[in-house]
Amino acid sequence: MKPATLLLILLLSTPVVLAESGVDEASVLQRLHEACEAYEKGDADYLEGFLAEGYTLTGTRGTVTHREADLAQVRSGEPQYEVFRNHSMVVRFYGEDTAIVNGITSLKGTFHGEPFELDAQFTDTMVKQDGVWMLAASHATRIEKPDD
Amino acid sequence: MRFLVPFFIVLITGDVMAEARDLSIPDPETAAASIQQLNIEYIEAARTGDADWFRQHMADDVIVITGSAQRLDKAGFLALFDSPSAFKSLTVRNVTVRVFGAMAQVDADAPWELADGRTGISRYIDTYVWLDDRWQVVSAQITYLGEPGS
Repeated sequence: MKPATLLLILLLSTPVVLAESGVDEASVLQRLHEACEAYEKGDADYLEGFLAEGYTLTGTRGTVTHREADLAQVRSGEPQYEVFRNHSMVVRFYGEDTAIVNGITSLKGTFHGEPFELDAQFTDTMVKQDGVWMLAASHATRIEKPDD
Repeated sequence: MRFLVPFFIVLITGDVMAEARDLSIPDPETAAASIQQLNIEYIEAARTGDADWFRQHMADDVIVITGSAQRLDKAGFLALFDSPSAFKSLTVRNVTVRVFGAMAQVDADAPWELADGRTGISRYIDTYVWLDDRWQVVSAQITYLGEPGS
């Protein structure tokens, strides 16, 4: 094969791959952004379509909770979040259906009237099911501040 | 020469399709058994300070969140093994393995005792992905739960 032919094939295929990866990253980040908003607003309906069957959360105290318990907590209105924001995120894709997102969640709110504020390092494991990115697992570790 | 070009394109396309179906991914039962075994090896490597095990089984782009919420890359994590292991004992309990196609997660509690007598329990989630025909760790996160019985 002429080098020019091979080059043409590579030129034709590479932008498509890059473009799809960029779209997927945007989709994952958009889903996480919407989920943060849902936690702030107490929107359990959105979260029902975001937390995958079998979802587990390992919270900052090491407690493991599951999908139904987390949805019930959101419906209960406690805790109330003033701020639920993800930032400093890095997304890695493995195949077409798995994404690992590392980042920091900043939280501020009240729990039964008691105020809290913290940052946590998180790892979110996202899986694409029926073309939609869902959260399969989340693990948060509190970032201790000097005055904590 | 001309007929070689479409042949080459077919070869490339066929390869991509095979990758999309990824027939090499083990079935969930086999995958779960493999992850159980890898988890035992992982804990043993952590207990004995076996950096080579982690070098071989962690993907190059692995990210580890330590119990003190540090975010480490592979080099940073392996550097933790420059000092001898401080563990007198390290075990696991409450192990759960979940398989999602080419990705699998194991979570567990790990009670430990250090050589200086301090004790504690940590909870962790390790994520494995089927890469290059083997399971590789792509993510690990640890949360310190406290002392046993606390």
